[in-house]
Amino acid sequence: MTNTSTDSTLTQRAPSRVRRNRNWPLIVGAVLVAGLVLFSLYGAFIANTKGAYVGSARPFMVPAWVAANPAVGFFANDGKHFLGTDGQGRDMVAVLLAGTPRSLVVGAFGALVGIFIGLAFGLTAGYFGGWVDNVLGIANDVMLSIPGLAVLVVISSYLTQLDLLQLGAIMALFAWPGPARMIRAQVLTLRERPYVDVARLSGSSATRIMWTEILPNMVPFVAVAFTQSMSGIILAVTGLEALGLAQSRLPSLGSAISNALEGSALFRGIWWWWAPPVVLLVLVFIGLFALTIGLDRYADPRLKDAR
Amino acid sequence: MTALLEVHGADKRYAAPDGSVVHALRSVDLSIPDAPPTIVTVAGESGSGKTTLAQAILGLVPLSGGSITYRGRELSTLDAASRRKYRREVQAVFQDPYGAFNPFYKVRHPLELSLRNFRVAPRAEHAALMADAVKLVGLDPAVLDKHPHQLSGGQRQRLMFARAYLLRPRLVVADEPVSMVDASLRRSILDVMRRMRDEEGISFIYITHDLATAYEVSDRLLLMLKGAVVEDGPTASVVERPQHPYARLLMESVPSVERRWPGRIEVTGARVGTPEGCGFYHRCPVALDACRATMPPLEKSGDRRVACYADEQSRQEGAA
Amino acid sequence: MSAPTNPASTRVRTPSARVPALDVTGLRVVYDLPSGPVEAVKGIDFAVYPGEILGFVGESGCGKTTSAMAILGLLSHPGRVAGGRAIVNGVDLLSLSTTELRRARWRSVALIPQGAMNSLNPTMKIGRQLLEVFSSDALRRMSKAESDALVESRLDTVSLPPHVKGLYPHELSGGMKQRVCIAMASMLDPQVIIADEPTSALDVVVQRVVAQTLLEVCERTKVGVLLIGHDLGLMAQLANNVAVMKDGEIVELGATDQVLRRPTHPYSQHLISSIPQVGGHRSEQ
Repeated sequence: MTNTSTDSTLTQRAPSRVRRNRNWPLIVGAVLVAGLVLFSLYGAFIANTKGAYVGSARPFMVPAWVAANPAVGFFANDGKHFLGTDGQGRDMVAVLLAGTPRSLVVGAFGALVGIFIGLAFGLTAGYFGGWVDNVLGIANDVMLSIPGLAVLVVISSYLTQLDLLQLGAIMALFAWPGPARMIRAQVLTLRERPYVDVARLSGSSATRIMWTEILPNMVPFVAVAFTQSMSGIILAVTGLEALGLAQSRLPSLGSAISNALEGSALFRGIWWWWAPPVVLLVLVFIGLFALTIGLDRYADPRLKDAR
Repeated sequence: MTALLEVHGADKRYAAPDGSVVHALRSVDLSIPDAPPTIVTVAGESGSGKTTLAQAILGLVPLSGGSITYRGRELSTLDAASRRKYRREVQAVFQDPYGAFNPFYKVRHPLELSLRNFRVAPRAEHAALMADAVKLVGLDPAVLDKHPHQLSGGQRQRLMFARAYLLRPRLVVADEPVSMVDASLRRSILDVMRRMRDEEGISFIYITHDLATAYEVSDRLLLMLKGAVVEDGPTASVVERPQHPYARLLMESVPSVERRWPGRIEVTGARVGTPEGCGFYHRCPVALDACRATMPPLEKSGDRRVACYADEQSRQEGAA
Repeated sequence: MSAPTNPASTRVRTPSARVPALDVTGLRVVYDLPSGPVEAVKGIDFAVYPGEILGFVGESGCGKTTSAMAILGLLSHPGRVAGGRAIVNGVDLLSLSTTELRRARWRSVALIPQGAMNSLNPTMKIGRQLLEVFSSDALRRMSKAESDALVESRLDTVSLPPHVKGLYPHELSGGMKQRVCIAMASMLDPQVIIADEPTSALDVVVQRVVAQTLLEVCERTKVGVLLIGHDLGLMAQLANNVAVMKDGEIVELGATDQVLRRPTHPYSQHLISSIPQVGGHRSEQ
C-alpha cells in the first residue's frame, strides 16, 4: 500500500539494448559459436570430406609446418593435407570438417528435445503447483538422481550402431531434468506477475496464459538452458565415444579422439592425431560456456525489472 | 429495488503463518443497487479487510461464511456458463499499472485478449471497439501500439479501465487504482470512473485508503476497520459529519489545506480490546463495556448505517 | 538560468539576523545519458531555517529528490552536481571530498530516504542500529549505561517507549519504524534533516502521528527540515514555507498559506488545483 509514484522519465528506460557496459561473454561466445557453426556448415555441405575415412591417404604424415622424421616413421607432408594424417590415413582437416558438424548436431538436437520435455514439465509444474507440482517434482528428482553417464554407458554398449539423432534423443532423456527445474523456478516467479492476473480477468485459460503470457518472457532463460544442455551433451557424447562406446562409422570429434587413443597417439608422439579434435572441442566448450554466461547476464532479473 | 450485488454476512477467516486465526472479514453487509449506477468507496487502513472483500466479490477468494449474490443468484451456486457471464460483467482494475502489462507485448495485448476470449464481437470490429474504449478514457487510439515502458503510470491505468470497459461490465472493482500513480495525474483517472458511471451506467466498488480521492468521486462511503464495516453512508455526509468514533478520528486526521489538525494525537491506546469486540475499542474516547465484549451490529442511523453502541441516534431509533 | 520565472515569488525575506541551517544557491544537476547530457536541476536557490520546515512539492521527475540527493552527495551515476553551493554551518557540502562528506552526513545533514522504514537492517536490534551512526571510537568511549541512556532519550523524542531498543524491525509497525528512522536521523544533532516522503506508505492516522513526531523533533531541537512530498494537505500541516518545483526549477517559493491557498504562478495554480482534496471539488452525479 505504497504511494510511491515512479513516473520519472529519467529512471524509466527501454529494454536493455542500450547498455553501457558491454556483455563480453555474450559477444565472445556468439562470435566463437557463429564461427564454429559456419565451419560446420562448410564441412557438412560444401567441403569434400572423403579424406576423413580410413586409408584415404598415406598415414603418419606430419602437419605442413613440421619437419618430417622418417626415423620414427613420420612422413613429410605432401602439401594436400594441412594438418597431416593419422595412423590410419585419415586427413585431419577432413576429420575436423566432418566431425564437428556431427558433434554439434547431436548436442543441439539433444538439447532441443531435452528443452521441450523440460519446458512441458517445468511449465506445468510451476504454473499449476499443488499435487501436479509434487508428482512432477518426484519424477524430476528421480531422473536427477540417476547417474546418467553410467546408464548411458550401459545403453550404448547394448546398442552398437547408433545414428546421430538416436544418440541425441537418448541424451535428451538425461538432459531434461536440470532445465525443467530451472524453468519451473522461473515460472513460479512469472505467474505471480500482475499481468497474469489481468490475463485471467480477461478470460484466458491456463494453457493460454502459459503460452501467451509466461513462455515469451522465458526466452532468455530457455536460451541459457539450451546452451548449457548442449555443452553438457557434447561432453557426455564425446566421453562415451572416447571410451569406445556409442560408436558409429561416421566420424565425429569424439570418435577421432577414440581412434587416437586406440592408436596410442599419445605415447607415439603423434600429437596431430589427438590435438586437432581436442582443440576444436575446447573451442566448442568455451564458446558455449561464454554464450551461457552472456545469455544469463542478459536474462538477469535486475535487467528484467528495467523493462 | 433489486440489488445488483448483495454481500450478506460475509465472513472470512484464515490461518496466519504463526498459527493464529486472522479474522479478515467479520459479517460484512454491502448492497449495491441495480440503478442508478453508483461509485461506492470501501475505505480503510491496511488490514481492514477491504482488499479481501474485493477478492471475495471477484470470486478469487472463497468465503468462510455468508453469501455474495449477484442479480439474485448466489455466486457459489453458479454453473460454468453463468460463472463466465459473471466474470465478464464484474471486472476489475488493480493497483499496479506497471506490472499489469506483459512487457513482451504492446499495450493493446490485454485489450485484444479480452475481446477474443469473451467473443465480444467478430475480429473485424475489434480495432474500432478498442479505439472507442481508449477514447472514452481520454487517450488517443495511437497509444495502443506503444509498449508499456513508453507510457506513464496514469496512461497505463486508464488503459486498464478501457480494457474493463470493452467487456461492457455492470460492475468494476477498482482496487487502489490511483495509489501508484503520480498525485497530479490522479484526477484524470477519477474522471474516467466518473465518465464510465455517468455515460455508460457502470457501477464501481472503489477500494482505497485515500479519502481525498474517495471524497471527490464516490457517491457512497463504506468505512472498514479490522474486518468490519463501521460506517456506511453518502460520501459527503460521512466525510463532513462522521458519526462513528473511528470515522471521526480518521476524518479529522486527513491532512487538509483548509484546516489544521485539532491538537495533539495520543500515540498509544489506553485499553486492550478483544478479537470479538469492536476493533476501535482500544483507543475509543466513548467506549462502553459492551464494545469490548461483542462487535456492534451495523444499524440504520439517519442517512447512513453505523456500527457503534455509543452512537446516540441509532440507539434512539432502536428504542422508537 | 537560476531565477524563477515569476518575479514576485523570490526567496522569502527573513529577518537578517537569522542564519539558514541550509543555504543552497545555484544548484545544478546534470545526467550524462547516452543520448546526451540532461539538466535535471537547473540552478535553484532556497534556504531552510533552524526550527522550520521547508516543503518541496512537484510532479514525479521534477527534481525534488534529485536535489536532495545532490546535496548529500548521493547522486547515482550518471548524475552529477554541475554547479552551486549548499552551505551548512559555514561549510559548502558540494565542495567536500568523499571522506569529508561521509563525516558530514548524519552529523551536519541527515537523510530519511523514501521507504526508509524498509531499509532498516532486519537482523539488528533497533538500539544497536541507532548507535551505528556513531563512529566506532566514539562508541568505545561511551559506557553501556551512557549509550543506553542516549538511545532511550532519542526514542523518547519520537514518543517510542524504551523497550523498543531491544526489538527487531519486523516487530514494529510501519509508523513505529518510521519514527525510529526519524530518531536515527537526529542522533548526532544535525543542523538539517532531509525527509523524502516520510509518510507516503502509512495509514492516515499513523501518518498524523509520524508527522506530529517530525514536527515535535523540529521544534524541540531547532533542526531545519527539508520535507519532500506530494501531499499538499500534509505540507499545510507541517511546512512553514513551500517551494513548487517543475522540470528542475523552483517556480514558486513562499509561506505555505500563501503558496497553497493563493498561488501566483500558473503552474502552481494548476498543480494545486489538480490534486484531489477532502473538502474540495466533488463530481456530483
